[in-house]
Amino acid sequence: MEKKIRALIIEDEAPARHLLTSFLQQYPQIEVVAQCSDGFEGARMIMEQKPELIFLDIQMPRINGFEMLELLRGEDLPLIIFTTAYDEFAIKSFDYNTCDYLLKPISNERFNKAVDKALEKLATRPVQAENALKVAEQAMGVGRFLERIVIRSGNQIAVVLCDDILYLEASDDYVIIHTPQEQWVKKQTLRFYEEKLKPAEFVRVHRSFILKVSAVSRIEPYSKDAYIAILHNGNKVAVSKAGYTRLKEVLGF
Amino acid sequence: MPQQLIATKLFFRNYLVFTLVVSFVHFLLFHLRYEMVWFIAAVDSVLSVFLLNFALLSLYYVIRYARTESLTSHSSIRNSVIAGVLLVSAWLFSTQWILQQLFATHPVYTAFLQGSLALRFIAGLFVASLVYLSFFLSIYQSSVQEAAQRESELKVLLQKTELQALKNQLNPHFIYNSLNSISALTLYSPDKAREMVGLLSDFLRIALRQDAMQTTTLEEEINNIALYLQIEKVRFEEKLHWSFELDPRLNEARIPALILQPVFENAVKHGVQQMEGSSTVVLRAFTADDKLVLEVENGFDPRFKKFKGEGVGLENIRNRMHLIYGSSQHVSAGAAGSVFLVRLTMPLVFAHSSKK
Repeated sequence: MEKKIRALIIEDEAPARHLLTSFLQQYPQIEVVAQCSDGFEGARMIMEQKPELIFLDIQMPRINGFEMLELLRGEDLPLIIFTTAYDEFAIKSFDYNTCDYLLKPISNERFNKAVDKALEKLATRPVQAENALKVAEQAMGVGRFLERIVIRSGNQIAVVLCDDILYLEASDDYVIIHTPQEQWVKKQTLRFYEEKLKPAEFVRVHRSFILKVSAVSRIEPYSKDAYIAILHNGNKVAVSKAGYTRLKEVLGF
Repeated sequence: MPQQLIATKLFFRNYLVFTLVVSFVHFLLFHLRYEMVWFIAAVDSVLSVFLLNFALLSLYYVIRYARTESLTSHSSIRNSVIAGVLLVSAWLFSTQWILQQLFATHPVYTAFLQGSLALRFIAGLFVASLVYLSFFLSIYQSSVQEAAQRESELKVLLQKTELQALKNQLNPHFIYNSLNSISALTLYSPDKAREMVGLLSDFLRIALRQDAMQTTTLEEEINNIALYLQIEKVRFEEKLHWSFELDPRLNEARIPALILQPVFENAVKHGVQQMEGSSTVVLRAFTADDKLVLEVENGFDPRFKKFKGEGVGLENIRNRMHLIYGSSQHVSAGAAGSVFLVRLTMPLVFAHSSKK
């Protein structure tokens, strides 16, 4: 017997899930392996079930669809069809060739078109997981800046609010996020956060550091071309000459 | 303002031309009709007319900086007449004195000058009233134009605010999501789909009927909110609950139509939808210090999002409340722990008044 294509539905509203499963009944070659009602569950199921195709709602409780994908950076990602009622901001940045999306209310005709295209892609070439990730990461910065960072450690998922961050530190392929209570390790680049965090609050002060302006208590000269920022909680962060200039611009002195 | 400067320049040019014309007529009259030596006629006409018109120029500023309405009052007209007579008398006295000194050696001329005083006085009054009238008309016209322009600017601003307020009352995503739910319900629960089409139609009928200045009774508004929540209940099922804590004596109190709609939409979108388990949105209506207070409270999960209490939605509610009540209203919002509270305070009004 031919191997079925494994699909996952990640959608928080029951009626919308019903609609997708009933549309999918027209495709005997596709098997729905699970239905998830939020991004946490979705991320876990993608790692466990390794589906080839997912239907992903963007607005969901706890973490949204984009955050869920970004969380899976480094994993093998399936082919993604986004579903949403929102046609502004993020969705406008989609590259139609790498990812498809369905606008609610979803018509059967449009659904079939998207699934047919997905099946064609799955048949002809391996899924280019990086594309979906790129789309999600791009979309996250469209229209507004990040309010929080979602982190996965083992099977646990944590959410760090940007308001709680003191500074971010680059470490090889990872970024260490420092909050007053904890340190979180996230597979991401510092450059990503330099673009996505609110520039009035976060400043790239060094090749390896992004600093929250309001966390700084004082800045002291360290050597001829370097400074050191001392935070309210006593932590010290290196500031380069260029970083010092940027910091001065934001602080306006 | 360069435009005003250009207008002023134009005014002075016209006034100079007018002055020249009058003095030329004066000259022709004296030279040809009274057969005066051309030199004396020229000096007489230029001196008299220029002095008079220069003195009359002061009227322009008096009229320009007086308020338009006060210019047409009786006392103002009487004052203008007295001022005009005094001005013309002073002018006549000084010109006569100067001309007498200049041409003291021409007895024929000085005799003529003495004889023409009454005529000069009447001519002076005539020119003065002409000048006053033209000043008045030009200034009156421009102030009427200014007022009309200001009014039309205000109107555009009001329309913009109204349109924005209306747009914010009706969230298109809510409609799209509801239509998606209906589409799904037709497959497995046609009865429920039909019911939801009815709810959505009722809701839209009310929402599309409103304009930004319209008010409704609290009871009607709450019925409409209940309609909205019933529609959302189909999407969110057991996650969404609500409770209304109302004082029945306030049922007829008037509030801006659909003012609570965006508050509840926010509560559902940022509160209920984001929560793991079920969640209740609470509405309270009561009076405090003779004002009507509406409170909407919803739970949220502070681990996932911080609420700073300010959003675009609230700003729009504030604008609309301001449009209707001016400064006698207040909109506040804030989070405490895992509870978010929006409070609208407005004048307690029972009488029917759908427009301000």
